Amino acid sequence: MIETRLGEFEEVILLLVGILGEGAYAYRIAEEFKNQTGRAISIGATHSTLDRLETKGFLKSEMGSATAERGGRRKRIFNITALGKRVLKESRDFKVSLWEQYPAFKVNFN
Amino acid sequence: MEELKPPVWANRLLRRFLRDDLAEEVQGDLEEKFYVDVKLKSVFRAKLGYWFQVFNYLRPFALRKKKSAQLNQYDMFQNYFKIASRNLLKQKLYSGINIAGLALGLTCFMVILLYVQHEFSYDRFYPNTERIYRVYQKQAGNEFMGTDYFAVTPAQLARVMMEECPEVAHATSVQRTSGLLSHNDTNFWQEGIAADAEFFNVFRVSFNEGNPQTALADGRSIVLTQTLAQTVFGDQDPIGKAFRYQDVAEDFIVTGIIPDPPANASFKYSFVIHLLYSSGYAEEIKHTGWSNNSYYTFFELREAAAVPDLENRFAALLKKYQLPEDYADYPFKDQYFAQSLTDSYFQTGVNFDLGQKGNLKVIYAYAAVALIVLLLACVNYMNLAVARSVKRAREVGLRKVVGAMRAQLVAQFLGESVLIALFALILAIGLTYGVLPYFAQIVERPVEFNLLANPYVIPALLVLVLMVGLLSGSYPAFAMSSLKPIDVLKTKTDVKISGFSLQQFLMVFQFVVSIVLIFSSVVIYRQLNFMKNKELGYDKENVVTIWIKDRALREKFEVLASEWQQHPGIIHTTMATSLPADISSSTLIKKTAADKDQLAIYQWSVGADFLNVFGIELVAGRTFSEEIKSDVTEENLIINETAARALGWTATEAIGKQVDRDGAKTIIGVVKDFHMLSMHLPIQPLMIRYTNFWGRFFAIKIKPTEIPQTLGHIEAVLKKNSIYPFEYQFLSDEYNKLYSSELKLGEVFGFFTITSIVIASLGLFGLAAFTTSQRTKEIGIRKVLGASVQQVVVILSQSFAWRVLAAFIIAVPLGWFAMNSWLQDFAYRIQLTWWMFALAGLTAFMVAGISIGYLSIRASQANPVDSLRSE
Repeated sequence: MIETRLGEFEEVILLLVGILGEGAYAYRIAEEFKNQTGRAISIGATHSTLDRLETKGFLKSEMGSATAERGGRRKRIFNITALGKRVLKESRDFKVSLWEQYPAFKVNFN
Repeated sequence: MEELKPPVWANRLLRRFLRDDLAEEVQGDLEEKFYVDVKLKSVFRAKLGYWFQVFNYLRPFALRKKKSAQLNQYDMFQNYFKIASRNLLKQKLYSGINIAGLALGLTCFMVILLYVQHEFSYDRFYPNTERIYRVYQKQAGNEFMGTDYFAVTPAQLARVMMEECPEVAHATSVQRTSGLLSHNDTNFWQEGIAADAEFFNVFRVSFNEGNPQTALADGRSIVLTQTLAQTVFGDQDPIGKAFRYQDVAEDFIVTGIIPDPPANASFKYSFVIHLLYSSGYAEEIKHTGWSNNSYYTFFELREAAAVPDLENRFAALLKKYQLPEDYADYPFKDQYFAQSLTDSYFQTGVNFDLGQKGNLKVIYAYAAVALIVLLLACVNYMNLAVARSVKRAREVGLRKVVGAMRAQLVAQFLGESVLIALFALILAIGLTYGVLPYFAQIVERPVEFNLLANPYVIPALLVLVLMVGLLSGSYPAFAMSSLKPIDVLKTKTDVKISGFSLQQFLMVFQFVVSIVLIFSSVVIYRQLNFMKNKELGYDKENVVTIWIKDRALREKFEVLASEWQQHPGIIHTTMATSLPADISSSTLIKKTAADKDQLAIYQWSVGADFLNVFGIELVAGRTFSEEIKSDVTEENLIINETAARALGWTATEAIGKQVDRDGAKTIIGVVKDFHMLSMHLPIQPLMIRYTNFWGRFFAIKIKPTEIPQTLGHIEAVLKKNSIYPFEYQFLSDEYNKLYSSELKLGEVFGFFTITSIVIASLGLFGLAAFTTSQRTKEIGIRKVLGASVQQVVVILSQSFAWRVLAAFIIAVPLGWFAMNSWLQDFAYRIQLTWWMFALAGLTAFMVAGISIGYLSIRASQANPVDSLRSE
């Protein structure tokens, strides 16, 4: 059985993949994570999460083109799948619904 | 400038563990980061970062998978188990034989292992065990009971060693003692230890009550063991209570309670009393010079002190303390040695030694035989497995065809044999529980089997099973795994497995062992029988002996004797210093006072009627008489024939001659030689003196009828005259005690012999059953062509008969050598004769014959139609 629950860290990575679009490969995503959150993360940890998200079907990947700065090596470019997008949306809707049920914050949203 | 690159070693490491399909992208990412870092930070930081990133790829998803990890090992193991259990169940006979044989072998091995472990645990319970030593001495030339080593030393030695030898921390003089302990008119006959104040500094026993430092400080103190204290005082506090001991006219005060000596203490006691109870000791230690040898000396060596340094001091001590007035005409040169307590347990052949002894020779012999029996069982397994392997050749072929590697096949077969060994072990543990009590009784040791007593027992047994399994499975495993699938699968007929010669060799080996063991048992049994029935020169039957515990009784001997004699069952009575089976006192005599030559001679003091009580024959002269004054004043002697010869006379010449032993003594009689020592030793010169006072035993010749009534009368008379408990021994039992170690050996060997025969015949039966079943068709054809039942039986049994014969030829010299050297220990022994070998060979032949004969007769009587129809 494939695990379909989305962890918090996984959600962030998944969003970053969406933000980066064509430039979403492991190193780039790790850098972006650091820029956005201020927390450093190793490429290996990012890669491991990407691999897991791909197994869950939220991401798909293909090898990109070779560039000189990588000694001619290709990158693996990750893309969000339709399932991934739907899961992200569900996650957001769920949280928004929770926020709306919270009286203290309800005013702000109006 | 050197080209800037990521660290080479980090890269190698990465390639080592990283999945190949990830290599490109990961290396690309890491390299990209590296060059960015080089620009933004320093080269060093970049390299460090690279290492960091590499290590962060050590994650399960990125790791290279081992090839085998992708195979489903679990299913394969399940298959192995299934095949193994099917094989076991399908061939119940072979499995039964295998497991039973191994279980027997393992049982022998475990029993002996427990015994050996017990033997090596003696006296190891003191906190300072490895620093406890004893002193013993060699009096070169003073041969007594076959040895010139003595365990006893002078009373002063312990004190002198503490004062003059820096290597010695504490030293103590010790004596065995036994006597009547009396408290408030209740009397307890107890055996204990008499020792000086240092005893508990050497033997560091933890006290239940009292202080070890001061327990024996006072010459009138006594320390009790828990059990004795319990028996005498029950719940009362024993400390400070008063005892009387033997005939000492003063009280002894209890100063401490100690635990009972454990089962593996070489000397046991129920109390420790101060040596000063003995007036002899009190007198002795007043002298500086050494003029006695009656005390055991134990000492605690200082840490880091060397034993040789200490032993080098002994010569000087002897020179200093063996004063000329005592030692002027002493013919021997004494030499002292120190020996550790644990070594001294295995030191046999020292006269007057203290406590139980272990015999290393016997222990090694048992261990060797147990190992051999276990080996026999392993050999059985190997033989049967090789034989059966023919049936399993196709399995091996098929496994190989579908891709089994040789290592897997080896592992499979070894695994099977380990499994069988495990079954056998479980059976063997049960058997050991059953057998051990009997074995413990035979060897007279409290050997216990407690799986949880020692944390090593269970792991050790598992290692044993592993070793047995691997050993017995090794040959079949390698032989089978080397089969070529094409040979096995192509032909319809069964293949011959190489290793048939090994099988033959192993079978011969089994029979060699069996024949040697049978032969040894026969020889041991014959020698025991020989000693039991040999003409001893005295009559050991119907003689009641009583060890005189109550010394006051010695003076009442004449009264006792006349009261005993009133009973019709009592024929003769006498008193003696020792029993004729074990005369263990010796001295030196000369022909005249001026003579230089001395003769070492055993001495025995007896009452007047001793010839009649013991049935000893007089060759010349007369015996002692209470009416002759010179007899009663101990001026006359009787000697034995050997003594007469040693003095240069015939029996009749000796009468009336004089010898010097504390003054001139006249020889009035010569007795026929009798076995005054065990059969290990030749008959020695002996002089017999008269005594009506110095006896240690009463000996009473009784009629062989109505023995209980006679014994009742003896007891009643004693009870009237003494408060001491009545105990007696028959002389014939005392005689048998001399050979208790040989009797034990005989029983243990009998046990081993039967086990080994059972194992060997089990193996033989299995092997024969297999070969006859292989030859069913051959037998059918032979019978169709006109062979008789007898002819078929001969054909089937032939090869086995030849192997037993070969085994016999090898076994004869081995057995002869082993038993001949065992017999050398006896001065009086049987001759090894051909019929003993013949008996052993014939027994092996019969056992083999029965198992083969049964099978071959059954096979030859089968109707050929049944065996041939299938083709």
